[in-house]
Amino acid sequence: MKLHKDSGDSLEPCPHMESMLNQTADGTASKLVEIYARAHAARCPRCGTFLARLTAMLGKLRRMSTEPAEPEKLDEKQWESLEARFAEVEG
Amino acid sequence: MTLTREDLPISQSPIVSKRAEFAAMARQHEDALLRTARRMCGADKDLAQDIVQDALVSAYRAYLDGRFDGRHPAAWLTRILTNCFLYAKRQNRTETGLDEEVIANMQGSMDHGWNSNIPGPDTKLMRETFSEPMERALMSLPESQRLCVLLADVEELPYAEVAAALDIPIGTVRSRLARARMQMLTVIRDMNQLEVLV
Repeated sequence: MKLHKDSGDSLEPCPHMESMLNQTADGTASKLVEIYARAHAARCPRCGTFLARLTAMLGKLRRMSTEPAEPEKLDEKQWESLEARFAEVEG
Repeated sequence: MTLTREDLPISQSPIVSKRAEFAAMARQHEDALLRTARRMCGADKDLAQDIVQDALVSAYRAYLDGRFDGRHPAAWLTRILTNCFLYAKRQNRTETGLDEEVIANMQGSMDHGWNSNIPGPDTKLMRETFSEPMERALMSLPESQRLCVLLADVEELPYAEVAAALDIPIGTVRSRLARARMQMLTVIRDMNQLEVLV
């Protein structure tokens, strides 16, 4: 297994692992790819940190689909205008 | 006695009932659509609202034509919203003569301003609208990458649907996502906010 030394503040994973780590983090990796990527990340500090941060970031991005909690709404005037446009569509 | 369509009061006619059904669905998803549109449009709240309204009208047309299969309304409306956003951008490009590269460079200059001590008016507005580190990291992306992240990572559309919505190959979706995620991590680190990812 090809490993890189940890270089402190670097965010970048081993170049040949980037795609596999992305797929592992977002859940689109095949089982085989995921096993390989996780095994590599467990031994490679750079890739381990990258995978952990990427997984956490994707979790936060998913939560953004319902945040901010305060709902945004169209106002009633905009809804009235929409209803008029709906009526035009009906012809 | 059998009632014909003409015998029904207007409020119970099939078309009005369809409109009411659609309006109920639209109201259920309007806040999610507005959130997504705001993130697509940057700080331009008015443009975001216009795009959501255009998307709902397009969606209603498709709904009446039977082009909605009743499954996954959020994903369906998000795809239509994306089309309306891209259409609006194309119209704007035609009117202003700007191409995507120029717009991306403008976006980049604005992003750079976030680290400046003296924010310009656009930067100030962006700061106020997108104060969270994740929002700011998202807004730092070029539009083509931001759309991929919004659709795939925030709205969780399958890659194939993202590719179809943006009219690009799936491989391009993957490569844009990889570049975008790396850029977001870099921005979060540069804001000294890596602890939000613990």
